[in-house]
Amino acid sequence: MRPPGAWPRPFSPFDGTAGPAALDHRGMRRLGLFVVLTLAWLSALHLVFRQDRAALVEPLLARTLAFWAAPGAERARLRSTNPEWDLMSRTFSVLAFANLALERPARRDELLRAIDAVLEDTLRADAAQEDAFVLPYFHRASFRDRAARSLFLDGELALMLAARQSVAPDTRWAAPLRERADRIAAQLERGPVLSGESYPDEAWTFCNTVALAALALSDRVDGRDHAALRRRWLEVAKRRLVEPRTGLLISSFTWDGAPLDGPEGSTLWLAAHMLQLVDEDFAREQYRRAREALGCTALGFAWAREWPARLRGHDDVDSGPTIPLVDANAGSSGLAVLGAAAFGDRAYLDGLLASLAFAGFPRQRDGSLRFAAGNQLGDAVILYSLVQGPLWARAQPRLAAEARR
Amino acid sequence: MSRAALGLVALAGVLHLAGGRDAVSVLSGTMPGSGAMALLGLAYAGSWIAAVVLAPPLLAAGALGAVGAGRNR
Repeated sequence: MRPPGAWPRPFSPFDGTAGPAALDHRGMRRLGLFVVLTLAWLSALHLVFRQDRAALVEPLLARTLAFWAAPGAERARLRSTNPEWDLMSRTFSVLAFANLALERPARRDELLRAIDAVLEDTLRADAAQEDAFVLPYFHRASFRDRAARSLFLDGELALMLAARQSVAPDTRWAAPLRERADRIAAQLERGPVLSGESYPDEAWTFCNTVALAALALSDRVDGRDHAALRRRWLEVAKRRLVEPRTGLLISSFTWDGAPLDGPEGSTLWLAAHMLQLVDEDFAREQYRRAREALGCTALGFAWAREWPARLRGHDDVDSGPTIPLVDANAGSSGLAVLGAAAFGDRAYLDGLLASLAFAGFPRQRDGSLRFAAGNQLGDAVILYSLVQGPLWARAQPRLAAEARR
Repeated sequence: MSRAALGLVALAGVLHLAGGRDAVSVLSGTMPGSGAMALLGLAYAGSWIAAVVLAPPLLAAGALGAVGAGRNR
């Protein structure tokens, strides 16, 4: 008979003392104890990562201001992954600065200087090179609308300019804003479904809703009125651009409205926020449906899928990778923070921010904060999400009057 | 169990010192510089999450087990 302890010890991660069979009585008790403690720990883990929303703003603002003071290698890395992200990071940064400038008069001048520096650099880059902020397939063919240029470029630039002018009008930005607002309106009017192309024969809900929000803000600044165009766009979108099973807006389509990509989180959360300046009820309904189809919560944490469970698409450069098993998508989850904040969904927002603190890998240094799992665009989106509100509120009274008419 | 917990924490610590936390941008599709850095980022993310989720209950179970064993002696 083999003496106790003489058996070769099987591998067990829990072990240090188990005997010939790890699952003997004592081993089972230890395993049971470990399972119970793990479940208890998992149910309390979100409390460890709970975030104070207001406390995130200052360090994220410091990080974003520091980035624009010296973009350097980080911007080069962002551009090498996707040049669109460079333009979008400018837009979200400017939107965040504009909201903060409206909310904090003491820092208004500093933030306006930061906005102006971003605008100058962006307009210069766009003027020097028409494809500075687009992916290479921009050149694969001609636009169906021969008079157009990318609505992605004009929409983001107009939104930045309109945000700046909403804080404090400056004559040097009036003409560039008016020029872009005119181009956007003309491009939308020429489209068979009142939408413009961002790439040849490729229109994106993301870009079209950004352009519509830019028109709404621009109208408030220069006193013009594109409300009828916005209303007609919405009527056409409800008929032609909504996926029937989910009731969600599709993400991309040809110039004449044939669907390309179905509903995607990396589009929908932002589109719902932009549509708050077009039709608050429709925007809220899109958010509610997106939350139902894409939002995930467990154990106090929250995240978002890129696609509804029954309409799965494929990972691309816009969405970024999806983490298997939990189906968490970084792009969709980041923009879900914006959706949750814009529509006052506090429980979901707290869960998303807890997930961000847990799996976003925050790095704090010298009073600034960045999330290492993302990039400067991600940080700008989070900052904007936490401070959005004042800018949209400026455009709301007029929109409310439009709705009454 | 306590040794497994300390092993998980040590692994995460080593990968952290190797620069793993700065390489986790791969999770959002942002390449951290090279393929090796991307692998380091993935390894760090996995080890960090494993350490946060598993190390505390492993440590606690180990400590409670040791207390129980001492009583039975």
